[in-house]
Amino acid sequence: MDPGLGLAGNGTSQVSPMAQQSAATATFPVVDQTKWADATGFLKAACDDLGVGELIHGENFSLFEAMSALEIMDPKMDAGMNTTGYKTVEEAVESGAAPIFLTISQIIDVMDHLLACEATWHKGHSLAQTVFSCLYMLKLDRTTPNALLHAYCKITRATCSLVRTAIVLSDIHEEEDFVTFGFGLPLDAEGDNKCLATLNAVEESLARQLRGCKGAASGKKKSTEEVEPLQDDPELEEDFCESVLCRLRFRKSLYHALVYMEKPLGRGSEMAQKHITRALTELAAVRASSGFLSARRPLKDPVESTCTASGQPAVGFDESVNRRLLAPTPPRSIDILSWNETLNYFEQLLNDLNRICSLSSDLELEDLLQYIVDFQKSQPDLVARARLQLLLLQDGKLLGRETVTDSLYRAIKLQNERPARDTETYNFLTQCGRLTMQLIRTMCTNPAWQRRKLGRVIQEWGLLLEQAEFSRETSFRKSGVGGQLEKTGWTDDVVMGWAAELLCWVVTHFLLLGFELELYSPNEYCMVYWYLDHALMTLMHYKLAKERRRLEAELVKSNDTSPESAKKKGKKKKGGTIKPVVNKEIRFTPSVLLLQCYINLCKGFIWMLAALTADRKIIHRETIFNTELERFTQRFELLHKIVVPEPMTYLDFREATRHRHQSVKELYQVAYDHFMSAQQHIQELSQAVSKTPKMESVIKAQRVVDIRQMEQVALRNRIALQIAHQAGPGENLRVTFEFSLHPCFAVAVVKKP
Amino acid sequence: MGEEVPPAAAAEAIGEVSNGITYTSYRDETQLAPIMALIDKELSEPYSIFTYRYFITLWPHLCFMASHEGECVGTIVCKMGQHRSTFRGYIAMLVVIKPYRGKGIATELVTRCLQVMRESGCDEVTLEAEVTNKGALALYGNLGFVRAKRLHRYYLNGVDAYRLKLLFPRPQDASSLMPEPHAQSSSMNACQEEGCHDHHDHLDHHDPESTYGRNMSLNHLYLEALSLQDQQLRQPGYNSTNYHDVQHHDCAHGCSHDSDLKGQRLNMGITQTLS
Repeated sequence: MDPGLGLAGNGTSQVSPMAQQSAATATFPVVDQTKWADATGFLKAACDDLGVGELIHGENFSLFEAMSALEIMDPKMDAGMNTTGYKTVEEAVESGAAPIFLTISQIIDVMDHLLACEATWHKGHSLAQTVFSCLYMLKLDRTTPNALLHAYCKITRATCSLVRTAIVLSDIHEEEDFVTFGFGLPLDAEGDNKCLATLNAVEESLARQLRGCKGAASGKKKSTEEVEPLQDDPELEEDFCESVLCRLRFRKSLYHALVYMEKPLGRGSEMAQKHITRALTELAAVRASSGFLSARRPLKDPVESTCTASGQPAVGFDESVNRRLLAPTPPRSIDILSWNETLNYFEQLLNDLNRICSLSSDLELEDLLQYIVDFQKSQPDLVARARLQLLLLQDGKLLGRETVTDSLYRAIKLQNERPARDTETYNFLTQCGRLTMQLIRTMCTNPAWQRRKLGRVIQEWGLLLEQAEFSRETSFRKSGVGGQLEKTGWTDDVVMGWAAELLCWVVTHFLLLGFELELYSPNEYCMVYWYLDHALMTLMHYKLAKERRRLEAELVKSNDTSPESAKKKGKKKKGGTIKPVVNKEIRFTPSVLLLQCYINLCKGFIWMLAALTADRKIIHRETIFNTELERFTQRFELLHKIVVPEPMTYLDFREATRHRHQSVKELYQVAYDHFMSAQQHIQELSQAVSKTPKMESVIKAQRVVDIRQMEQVALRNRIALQIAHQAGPGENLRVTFEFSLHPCFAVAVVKKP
Repeated sequence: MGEEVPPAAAAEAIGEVSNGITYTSYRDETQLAPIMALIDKELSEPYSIFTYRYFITLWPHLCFMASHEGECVGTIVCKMGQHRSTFRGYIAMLVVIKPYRGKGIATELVTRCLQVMRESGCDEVTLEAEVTNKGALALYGNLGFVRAKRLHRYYLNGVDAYRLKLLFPRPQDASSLMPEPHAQSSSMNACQEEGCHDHHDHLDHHDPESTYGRNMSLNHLYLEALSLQDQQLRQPGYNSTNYHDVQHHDCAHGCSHDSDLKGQRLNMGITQTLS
């Protein structure tokens, strides 16, 4: 007896009369030498002993158990209280809820509703409440006499199975993204790989039918083989044929595309793209058929969110038959996507798949990471992200070609003739390879989860660098060349420099993602842009150092063949034995220029906030329970645990943003100048992008968008600064910040109060 | 488990009246029914009696009610306990009925709980709120909460949630890191005076831990056993953590993370601009 927590009900407990009765009369069989005794009296006594608020429970009764508990017979919680609708598929079928012989309009409605269910399933709802709310899907063999319906359902089932397998394999989803659980429903059926044969047969006869209609319309002689028309009105036959055909062909192309994308090493990409293009064409035809179908049968009460092209409810769908399969949770019905949303969903899915297929197979790691970031900008759904992840990491290899560690060796070799192959370097690179794999996988997850997981990646990466630094520091001391690290970081060390650069990149991505997820509130903008600026600068530092090493390596090769004496840009190399780069300009790649634009925008924003605050255009309010220090600590706690970018304290932040010696006018001017130079660099970036022919198409497209957005941000903020400055000091304007033009860089909106 | 919970009535609470609203601390079972009725009415997710009792029986001093002319118009339900290396407060449910929103009632209820948590030695306080619940987000923002994480489709209606977190100042580093020590505003009404009452329009933040499907998935996060430890921890004045212990504990590999040292070791010169 262990009275402790709460008690269900009103505090009085009763042993049911039935239990008492059975206890009194039943004789218990003796099994396994177990002796059974009647405990009714004991339980009754115990119940009488309980007061209000007491509960008998096991030791493991926790919040989780408390929350999972359901109160039986409460209709709000007990799904079994809802006794309306059919209880089983059999009952539904027997009652005639899913007739096999349907009119052609009814079949089209079933197809459309099923497609909407499929999209809803992809969006994270349970299979039982979506695709398998279709009675025809539950009893697919029953539909054999209706060849058209049968073929459509069969290929739907095969496609669902492909999708689920891919998602499970990629393992980048949370329970909220996707329900992999199949509820024991008939999703994987034998012989579904032959679904195309069934479909082709139906398609062929329909195509013949269509030709027949067209022939009849143009007055040609009817073909000898007479096919039974889909419906009675010869006028409509052609439109109906076309409506059905585009639906079948869309399904076929989608299925083909998914099958081709499963081929290893992206070998099926080219074929998959052909089918994707075809599927998009057919999808457009499906969309266009809505006009004809809805005009045929106008709804009495038009509803906005119908799941079919005709706007009519489809026959043969019943959510209640699977009620018993659902988890023991409070009853909850779900909203199936509308017809329009369904079409939009599949259109985006196909476009996203197309972008995955366009990925070149010889991408360097740096571009590959940028590709994933840019791919994610269009907010692809899980199905596409899963396919991307499966393409990028096949059998533990990057794009199925080489291990990440080998790829790192190659990347490093480009900059250095003799990469050290000692055990220490090997171990370090192996660890880097493991973390890079983890990073790529993480970057394919949904952005909210991604940011949380990136935190973990950053921490591990920081730790790895710290350990490596420690062992290197020791060996440096031994050889008497210590002190190098203090001045330049790891810029002269190819391996460490590479790892540090990657870590900085992850940190900037982590901070930028916070804007996209709207994690920062206006009173944190200043500190976030300030820290972001710091991370971007460190990243730039490593990028330029790498570029310099690359040039040096080239120079060693060409050995004084180029006598130009142009002034070297970038940072001069300190010390070292290789001849310093003096006669060649460091190339500013689009990625370096993009960083520079971001840096300018950050700085512009920091100074703009300083100016507006000093000019009393924005007022910072104090909070009761903590101060800016705690918010800073909370925000950057993670980044304080890593070695690069160098951890910055709250004191550093306060010192850097205090601007004691500048007048308000000067602050406005500095901010203005930063946005001006941002615009200049955006121009340079624009030119660099157009001059780089071998740029990945997804990356290029995103840069073009970036350039346009950043230009707008810089321009609008310059105008806002001018207005605020001209208004004179004091609270005469209301300034707010919006992310309407760029997901990560705010524009100031100035209004009269 | 195994200890009988002392009767909640022991913590005698006398109602305090402000703007015609009376604030009372949870006293006994008779108040359970109105609290449950209020929450059941305002929040879409149904909670079982076990859920209410879990919170209210174990942390009666973290449950407050706001009443107007004898009617319960708002309530807050919280808990606190050890979470990894920190002692953490958690706001589970907060409800103010529609006609009474915008009067600072929710801010007052939250403030009262935060004060108890701070006095009990909490390092931080967390909660979840829908990303669309502008009223709740503004309220917590004004109190110093930061949006620590976003949780994808957290609620069963498909809406994302933010995990909000408030960090209480740590006495030991407040003096060493703060350039100018801020005057701590101890006035409970400061927030109300500053006029944050226009933000309460949609104030009913769902209790995140209690959306049912979610329970299953967040098992690992919230499986905090109702242990004896809980009983000990809720004693007022209990101070569970020490900053340095936390720092060492965080690092699984046994390295010390002293950020000041790191700063000196890696003071790198950084190229400021390109040209």
